[in-house]
Amino acid sequence: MRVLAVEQDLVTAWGRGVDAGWQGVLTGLPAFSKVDRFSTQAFSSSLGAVVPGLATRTTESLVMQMLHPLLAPLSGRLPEGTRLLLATTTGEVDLLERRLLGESLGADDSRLDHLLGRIQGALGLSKPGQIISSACASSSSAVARGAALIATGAEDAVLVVACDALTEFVFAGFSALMALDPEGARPFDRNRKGLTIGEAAGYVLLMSEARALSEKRAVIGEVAGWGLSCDANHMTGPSRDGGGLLRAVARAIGKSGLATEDFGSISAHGTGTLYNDSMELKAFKQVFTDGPVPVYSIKGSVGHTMGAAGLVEMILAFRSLQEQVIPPSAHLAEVDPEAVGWVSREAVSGVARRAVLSTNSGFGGVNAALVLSL
Amino acid sequence: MSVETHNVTVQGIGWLDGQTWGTVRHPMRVSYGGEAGVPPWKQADLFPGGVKNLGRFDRATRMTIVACALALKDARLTAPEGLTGLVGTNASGSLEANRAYFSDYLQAGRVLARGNLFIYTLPSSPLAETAIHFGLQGPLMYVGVTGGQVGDVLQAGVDLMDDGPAGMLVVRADETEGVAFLLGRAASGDKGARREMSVERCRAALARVEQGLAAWVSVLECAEKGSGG
Repeated sequence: MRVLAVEQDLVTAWGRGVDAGWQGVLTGLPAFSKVDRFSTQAFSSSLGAVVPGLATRTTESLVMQMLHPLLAPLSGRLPEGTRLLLATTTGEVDLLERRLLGESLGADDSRLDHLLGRIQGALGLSKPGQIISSACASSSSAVARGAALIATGAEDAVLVVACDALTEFVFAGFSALMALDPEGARPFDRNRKGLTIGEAAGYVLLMSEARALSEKRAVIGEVAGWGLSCDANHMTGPSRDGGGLLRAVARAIGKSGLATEDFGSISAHGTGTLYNDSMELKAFKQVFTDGPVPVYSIKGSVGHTMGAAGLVEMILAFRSLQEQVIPPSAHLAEVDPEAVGWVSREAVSGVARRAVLSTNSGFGGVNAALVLSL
Repeated sequence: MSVETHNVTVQGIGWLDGQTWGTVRHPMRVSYGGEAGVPPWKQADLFPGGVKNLGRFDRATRMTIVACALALKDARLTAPEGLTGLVGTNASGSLEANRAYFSDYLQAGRVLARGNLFIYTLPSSPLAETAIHFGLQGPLMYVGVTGGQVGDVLQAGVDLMDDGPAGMLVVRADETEGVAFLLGRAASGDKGARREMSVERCRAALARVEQGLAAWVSVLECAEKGSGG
């Protein structure tokens, strides 16, 4: 059973909509600015990729402010029986921050199941939803789970919603781990020093081919393969040899039935940390042994949007296939010697071919790989 | 479905709360509360080489890893196959770890967070520590369902078997209690094999009670005896 994406939308630091995100990423410039939601004086970086117009002292959490405009047009018109999968790492943790800072909010307001209920209610869905959380591979894992539910016939419509916000909670944590690049994330750059935190929200509606046909849906693309794995190696660092990611990639490509020559590009996790980017290249070189396949990361543009990263990258990868344009790796000054021939600071036209491999990894050594095609 | 529920069996079930730990397929209950008791994380047969970083783990992580060790013990395995996966659930995600981390950060003057607390602020972190300890290299994810009902997450474990792992550990754990199930592929044509517990029977038993470890264990023990609970 083919799994098709039939509707999608997102908001990133480039603003609302797939067009805004795509055009922003194509500039090759970072959408980074000095964070002013809280003091960054004590942290190793002051930069973030923030969604314009979010307020910190309203009744709504940051993620619900991002999600409401995206989900409102879906309310009441989702297919009967749609299953909701919510991908996030910290959800409405800004509500917990505010409570611990003295605001009179409920003790459990930031629970993820409460956020799931709010989204379910906003969409008017009756079937019980699920939260999928696997660190920074959350949304690609949710897409994999949704695709599996459709492929096996358990569901024929799955809405994957992803969100995470830039908060003092996560900013202080990544700073403590010395994971922030003071100059802004530079994935695959020789002088990269870490990531830049971003925020985003988005959704994709997945459908079985049969249902998409019966509803005469326009098809955006296909989730042709997926693979999940765990390094089982370290809580905050990946396996240095990329072996865990390699297992997920091999599984995804094998499931898709595509050959390596069908792939025109790789949308990498590409966080800008020393070990992640190196590990990914090692894995890719073990799969694509006939020569370099263009690799890009959008995290030098929209930042690391954590649990939303995989979905944002999937949406823009579909756009890349439609336009037959490979986006640049933004904010890249000097290509790391390990990445020469694989990564470019310029957009490349006309070579996108049939499929994109999209990968994500996260804390605890989780890995997810998706094969996306037209 | 590629992996039918009836092709997957429950090979081991382990559980613990603050006073007692036990197994279901090979029934056992051991009290460890009080000064004389030996907590399960100090049982040499569960953790022959000890548990690295045990002192650093938060309570939810400790409950997760012990519940999984007990499920393996119940299945008569000392170590799972490398390509075993892990799916977990509970009622409130990492809420307690989130509170502990951010409260500590505020008490420290809002200038320096503790990385060792931050790493547990993901619902998947206890699962990741467990995967690292046992070398579980299959799929890993937290699946949150309303109320943290374990029966619903068992199906997620069955579904993930389709992704190729040899087995799946399914665990529901929070700061006070944990229960874990080791799923494996059904043996075919082995007449001498001990009666297998199907996932359907397990889910049907769990569906008879709404919440609470004690109730879950009780109906699972009845299901194992074949009394129908």
